[in-house]
Amino acid sequence: MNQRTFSEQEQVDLVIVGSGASGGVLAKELSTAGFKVVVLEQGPFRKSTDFQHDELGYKILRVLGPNQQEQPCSFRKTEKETATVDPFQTPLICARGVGGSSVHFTANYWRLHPRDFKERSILGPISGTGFADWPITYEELEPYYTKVDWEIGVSGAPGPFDPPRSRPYPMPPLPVKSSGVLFERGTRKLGLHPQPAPLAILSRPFNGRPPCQHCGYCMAFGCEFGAKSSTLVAMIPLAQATGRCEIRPNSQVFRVVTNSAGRVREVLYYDANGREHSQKARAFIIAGNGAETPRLLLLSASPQHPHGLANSSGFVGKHLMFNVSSNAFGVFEQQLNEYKSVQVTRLVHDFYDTDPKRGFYGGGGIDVRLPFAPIQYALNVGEPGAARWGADFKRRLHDEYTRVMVVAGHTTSLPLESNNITLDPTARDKFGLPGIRMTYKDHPDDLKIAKFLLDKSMDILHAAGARKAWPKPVTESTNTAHLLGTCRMGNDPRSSVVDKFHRTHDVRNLFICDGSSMVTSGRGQPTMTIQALAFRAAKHIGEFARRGEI
Amino acid sequence: MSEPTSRRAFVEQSISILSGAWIAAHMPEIEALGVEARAAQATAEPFKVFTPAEARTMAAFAAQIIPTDNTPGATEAGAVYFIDRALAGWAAPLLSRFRAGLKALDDQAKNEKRGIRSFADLSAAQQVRIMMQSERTEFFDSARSFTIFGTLSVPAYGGGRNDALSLILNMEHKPAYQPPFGYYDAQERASTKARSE
Repeated sequence: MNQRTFSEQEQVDLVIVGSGASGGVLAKELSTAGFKVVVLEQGPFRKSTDFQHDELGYKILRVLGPNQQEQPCSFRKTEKETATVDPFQTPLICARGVGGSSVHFTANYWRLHPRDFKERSILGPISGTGFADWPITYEELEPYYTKVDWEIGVSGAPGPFDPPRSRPYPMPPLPVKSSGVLFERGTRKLGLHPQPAPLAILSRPFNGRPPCQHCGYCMAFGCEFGAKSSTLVAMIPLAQATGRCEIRPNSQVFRVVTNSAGRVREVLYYDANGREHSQKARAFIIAGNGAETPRLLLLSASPQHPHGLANSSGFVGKHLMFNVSSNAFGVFEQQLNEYKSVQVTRLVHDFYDTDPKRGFYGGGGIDVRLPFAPIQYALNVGEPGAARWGADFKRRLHDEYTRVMVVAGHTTSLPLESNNITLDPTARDKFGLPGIRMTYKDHPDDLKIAKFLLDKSMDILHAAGARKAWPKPVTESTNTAHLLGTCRMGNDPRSSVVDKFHRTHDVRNLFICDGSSMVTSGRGQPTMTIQALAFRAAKHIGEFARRGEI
Repeated sequence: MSEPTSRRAFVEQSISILSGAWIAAHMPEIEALGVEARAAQATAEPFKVFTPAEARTMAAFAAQIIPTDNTPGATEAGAVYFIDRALAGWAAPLLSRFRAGLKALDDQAKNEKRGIRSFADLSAAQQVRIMMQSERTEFFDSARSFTIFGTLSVPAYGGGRNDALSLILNMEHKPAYQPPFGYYDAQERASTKARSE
């Protein structure tokens, strides 16, 4: 698409770093509101028709994501260990490119519940953790959740535990799959309350986009039909059409530069050929993700900001939260064909709230899914003792792949200072800059709630009539697609990085809005909340800009 | 949109309505249409990193991981060509592990039976016995994974021939589907319809 372009010397109104779930929303909202916006995106500008049904490429080689040679991310469980870079597998499951990880997400769109924002007040402190209330309430965020429903495009129907909503879903749920039918049977038998899964995937034509064609390639893939509501198709074209927004792909921002007055003057970035550029603006919004955003702030350390920009609290990069998931597999008599259509059609939220009677913090949702695409299924899935190669292995693949489903738990993670993003002391990216170092070990309560949901999932499979069922044991997390909490919002500059309007406590014209803003983890499925925050942040940033308060 | 019945029809239909840029972007799929032709001349295909002896041993190993029965196995899928190409490219750091592992298989084969030179010369039962002894090694793990990659990936990577993916996993092979998707949702639809009538 044609778009307006700006020169690097021109001081635009806003630079947004990142064009993903939040960056895409911010770009559309602020350009529509009349501001001149440049979006710097580290990855390429793909079209929907570029996306392929290629499991090896998208799920194993992760062609959309960072690769360990050019954008290394190391991992360790605790600070006592030396983090290592696995040459083949990144622990950082995200997508680079315009639309960011909204391009490859599964598109589960759960709202947080009112309790999520004040759980700390309700439950009391949890020692050794950074468990805290949000500085905003569900009621303040609700209008923006509704904007996500209607502007991004969400299909769904209300469920018994849903928080209040001011407007119905714009589209009905996607058609139920066999897994959803069986899950309903099993959960009802147990006295639970199944409901359709809300998805950012179109069940009807919407805003000029076609509905889902049920190809089955959602999780970790891009949608070639444009039916999955990534910002690439739902927001970016609208931003470009304003004539005030330039999306500049292949632009890796590596430094946010402040002047002597403590304001951000410009950002520096490399283009695809490694040439250095800069862009000036009145104000800057970082919307990378919960790993890239703290990395950029840490890379921007200067004599004025020796521990990284906007880091007077010391919390930039800390309180990283993944959400734990649990998996129970079940095989049924007849064919389910879960490889067709969207990944999830039914869920239960009966266990959403923390129940002190369980003896640990945490809650979650349980849904039912395709148990991995074929290659990952063949590599890893099978009941204990199942043949891993040979004639029996092949017979199992042939008989079971179309008859299997996975009941998956999605849980809370507690915020811990010891779980964090820092700069790796040795790994370097293709520009020679320090790579990301991820340090993460689940809190014991996070694993307990995952085990609790795993046991419930097994009950559901048996009640649904599975011919056989087996659990995947809950183990400590070693990678994530959810990057939450690393520049969290709060009223107190000593314990948070941004205020309730996403302005950094330390730098007046610097804002941060992405998964890093989240104070608690929700129960998995964070993108809906990240985008509601982005719509809300855009409104406030726009008002600040209009009043000259940036 | 209408529901094309085959990948070929889908691609042809798409080509007729879309631009050259789209074709370039979809090259791997279009390449897939040449699969049968390529499989026919498979024996003459050159290898990038494997010696002919290594390729023979690798192919024999792969054929025991995913054997041929009434559906294609690793052999028909051309898994060995995938593995060769991967080790020449993105998986190059694993080449030495594969080389050593293949040599070890041949060495064990020579101990097993006098006068032979390759693991591939053993009977299936003898091959399986040797593989069971090495099941816990890094080589076995990698070679098993790469056999699965090479059998179930799209043809653009050199394997995945003869529709192995959908035939082995008993999947329909279409670019898109319409409900009902499986037995239970079809049953549910039928009973909902019956109730409403």
